[in-house]
Amino acid sequence: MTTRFDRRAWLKAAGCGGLALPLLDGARAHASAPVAPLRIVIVYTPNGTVPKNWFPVDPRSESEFELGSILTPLAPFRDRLTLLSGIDSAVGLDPSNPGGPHQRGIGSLFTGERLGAGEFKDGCGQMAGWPAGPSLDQVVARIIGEDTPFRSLEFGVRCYDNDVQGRISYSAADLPLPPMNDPGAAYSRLFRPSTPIDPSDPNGRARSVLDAVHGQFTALRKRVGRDDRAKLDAHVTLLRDLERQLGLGVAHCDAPEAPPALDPESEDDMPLVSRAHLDLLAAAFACDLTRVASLQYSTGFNRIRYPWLGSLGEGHSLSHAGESNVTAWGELTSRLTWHASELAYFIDRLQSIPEGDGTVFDNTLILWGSEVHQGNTHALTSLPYLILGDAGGRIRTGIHATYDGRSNAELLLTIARAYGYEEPSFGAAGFCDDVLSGLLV
Amino acid sequence: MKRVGTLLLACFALGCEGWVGAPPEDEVSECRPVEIFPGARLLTRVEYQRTVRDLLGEPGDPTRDFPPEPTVNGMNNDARTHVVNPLLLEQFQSSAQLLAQGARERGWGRLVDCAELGRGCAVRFLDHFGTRAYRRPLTEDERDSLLHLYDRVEPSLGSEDAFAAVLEAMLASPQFLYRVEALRDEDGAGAEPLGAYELASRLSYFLWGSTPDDELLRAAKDGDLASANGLDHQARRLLDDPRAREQVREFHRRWLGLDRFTGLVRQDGPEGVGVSLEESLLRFLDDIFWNQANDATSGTLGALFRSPRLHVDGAIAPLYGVRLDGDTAWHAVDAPSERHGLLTQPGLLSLLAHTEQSSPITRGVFVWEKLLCSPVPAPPPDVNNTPPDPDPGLTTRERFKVHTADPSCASCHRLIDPVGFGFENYDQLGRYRSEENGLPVDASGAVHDSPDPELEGDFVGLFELSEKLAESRLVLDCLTRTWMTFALGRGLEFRVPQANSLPTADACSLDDSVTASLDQEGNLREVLLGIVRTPAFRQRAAREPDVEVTP
Repeated sequence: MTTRFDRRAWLKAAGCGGLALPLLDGARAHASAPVAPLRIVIVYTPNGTVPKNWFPVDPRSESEFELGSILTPLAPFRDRLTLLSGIDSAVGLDPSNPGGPHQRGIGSLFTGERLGAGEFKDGCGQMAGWPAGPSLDQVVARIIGEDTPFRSLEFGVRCYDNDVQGRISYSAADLPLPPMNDPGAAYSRLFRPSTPIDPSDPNGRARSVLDAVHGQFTALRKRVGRDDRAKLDAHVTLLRDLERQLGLGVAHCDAPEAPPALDPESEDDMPLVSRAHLDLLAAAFACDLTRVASLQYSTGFNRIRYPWLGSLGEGHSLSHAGESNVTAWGELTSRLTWHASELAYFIDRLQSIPEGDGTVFDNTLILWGSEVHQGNTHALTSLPYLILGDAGGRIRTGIHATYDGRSNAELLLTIARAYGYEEPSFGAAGFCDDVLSGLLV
Repeated sequence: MKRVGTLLLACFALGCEGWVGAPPEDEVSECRPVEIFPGARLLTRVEYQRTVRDLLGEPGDPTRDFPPEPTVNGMNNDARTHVVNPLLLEQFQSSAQLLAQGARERGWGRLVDCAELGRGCAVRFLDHFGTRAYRRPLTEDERDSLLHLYDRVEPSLGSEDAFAAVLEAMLASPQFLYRVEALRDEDGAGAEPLGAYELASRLSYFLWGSTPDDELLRAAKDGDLASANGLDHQARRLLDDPRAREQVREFHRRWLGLDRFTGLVRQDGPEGVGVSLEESLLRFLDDIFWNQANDATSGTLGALFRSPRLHVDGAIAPLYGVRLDGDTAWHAVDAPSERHGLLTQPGLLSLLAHTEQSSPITRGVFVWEKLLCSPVPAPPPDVNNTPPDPDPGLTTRERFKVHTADPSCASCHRLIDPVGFGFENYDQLGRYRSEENGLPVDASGAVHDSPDPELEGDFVGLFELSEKLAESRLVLDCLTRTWMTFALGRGLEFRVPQANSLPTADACSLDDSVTASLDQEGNLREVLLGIVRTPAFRQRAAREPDVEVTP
């Protein structure tokens, strides 16, 4: 399962010195790229946190605080993480926003957007549609994702709700990106040989077929109405993206070992699925197949159990327990601690991939969040956000940054800035005044 | 019953262009026209898989790794939200490639009848196979662009490869991937009616979840579908085909949310019990739907709520006291003392349960939402809805009493709980019980504030509740709505601009379909045949002219 990617060996072979670029077919490699590529990962876990075991208790200062028990697996990376308190889903709190709290929370978590009207039902009957704009990972992907075969990858662990609760990544308003739950399928997508488009042969088979497909679109397009034309145009845009991807050629990168056959729907396989996904993401970064990823663990209304932890409550119900229910809160704490240890594993993997003078982790930022503050209140205030890694030294870490009810859109804006996003605002209009102070280096 | 004549008048008053799609036999209804709606519908995974099977004889399932469609109103074929995304597009492209390879390996003789492969044969292929793949004859532009592809590939790679390239391009084209309605003339002028071919596709994707067969395409070409009799004849023919059985199963999966059987864990259930429970429930529903005896066990809404039938295999038989003596195959038994219709089916009961105990709340909500189409309001977000821990000294009913004791919960739970408590004779696996923790089970219940006054009042246990439901027009109305949502691939529209406006076409169509079934004693097949006859199914509103000036 553990395949180590020795990028240094490739780089030596390429004569690139310390420069971190994989070897590529065709004209893909940027001969003079001055810095290592940046990467971003967003991670979702459901139903909020156990605040007393997450947020630092009695922090002495911004940098002097004890990690909550949930975060102990991340203690080795204490100087590489930033805990955030007081970041609200401001748009989710806005009463004009449709939907239930889980929907508004997850819908705005990485988008800062309100939800559109729609017919997705919250478990409690409220109705809403998709968020009205793109998510952080996709905004950043437009900046850093254009040179890799996959602009981004979306992975999920037991994400079954195919509605607003089951998605965290959006390329634009109403355009969710579905996660892949099955590591086997993800593996063959990443490492299966595709038919590249050979730019030196304009009459090559692949090119000819694609031209004919475009011809069919053109023939149909002039015969349909406005709405359908928009639908067909969106399809053509994605087709052109895929052509770009096929034209990039394939990185000379040894495929890692295929993951074992796993049942993505089995609760017993869940920890193995999680590990397989994390290994694949690390491999995708090592091979520069992508620089942008999202990973979603289940959904707000899940009924999942974590039998390998001895936690046999059904997730959503469990999270509704009152604070006096010591057993339930113990189970929730152990689940979140497990999630923290998965991320610690992922960071270890990224640190095992050399890049320049450091490792891939040095050029990565992971943003972990959940859709509510804690499960039994469904509060959309002080969402549990945690930053891991500093995106090539662009974000301050080793701190507990406390804010007095700032909009999560401002957090997303701040992180996007680190990647060169220049727009003045992020998310829904009126909920994002400025970047958060004290986070950007 | 029929609302004849005033439609065009009403339509002019509304400033629209009038109906397209000639109503059979000049019957029109006094209803507002169908909303303008996107006419391009992306195939779902199930539709794609069946389409390539029926079109190419493809034996495998190329959609295994396709991402799932969004779930809207319980269905997965909502035309607005089911749109392409990068992952799905990649899958469409690689699937087209693999399918073309597979077709080539199986030989072109299966798809086109030519003495030898060559350009003339390619033309023939586009005329015959092309019509099946695009579900209508190709336009000249479409034909030209595909023949051009043939001409580009054939010189270097030969005709076998050129055929594969053409097929691959067709399978990656929107004419195949989308069902497109309301096409206009090639010069872009004027709106066409919902054409015969479009209606043929609506019919086959409703009743088969697959592409029209040759006979249906012929009927479209010859104008058979324009008459009520011709359309009805084809609908009945399609329903008599095994493909309709798959599609009715697909409906049942969506209606009852059977996706949730995957990975189902229930205390005392063997590992993988969800697989058998799902199949058991589907077999029960098949039996009701397809066995047209119209008696207590089949055919009608009444049978759906009264049948004593229970389907078991070796894995679950022991749970329900059925002895199969080592036989692992499926068996149907009558268990009249424990089973009385859908509500008493182990599959449904275990789906509507917690891991370790029954769930009166989920069961009560199910009846209101799925059977009465009357969703109950949401609980406040900060409420503690953890199921109470199983307490050996109490029954489930006693533990859940807090709902009706707390006034903030009581307003909704006075609707939900008394219905859910009626299910208490069945545990988390749907096993019958008359005692829980040594205490007698109290399965008395009540329906309060029902939109159907016939349902109102006290009952004891599921036998009595089922009897109420079996006779309720509201239940038939709700089931028909669900079928219509499935048939049309969109949410239904019942809102009207003013109180005195005409009802919407969806409202009229629902009414007509329910009546069609009631005329046949609540026969369930008649619901589908009724829907096919309605304006909502046969017609769509004309669009405003929307011609793009080509630069």
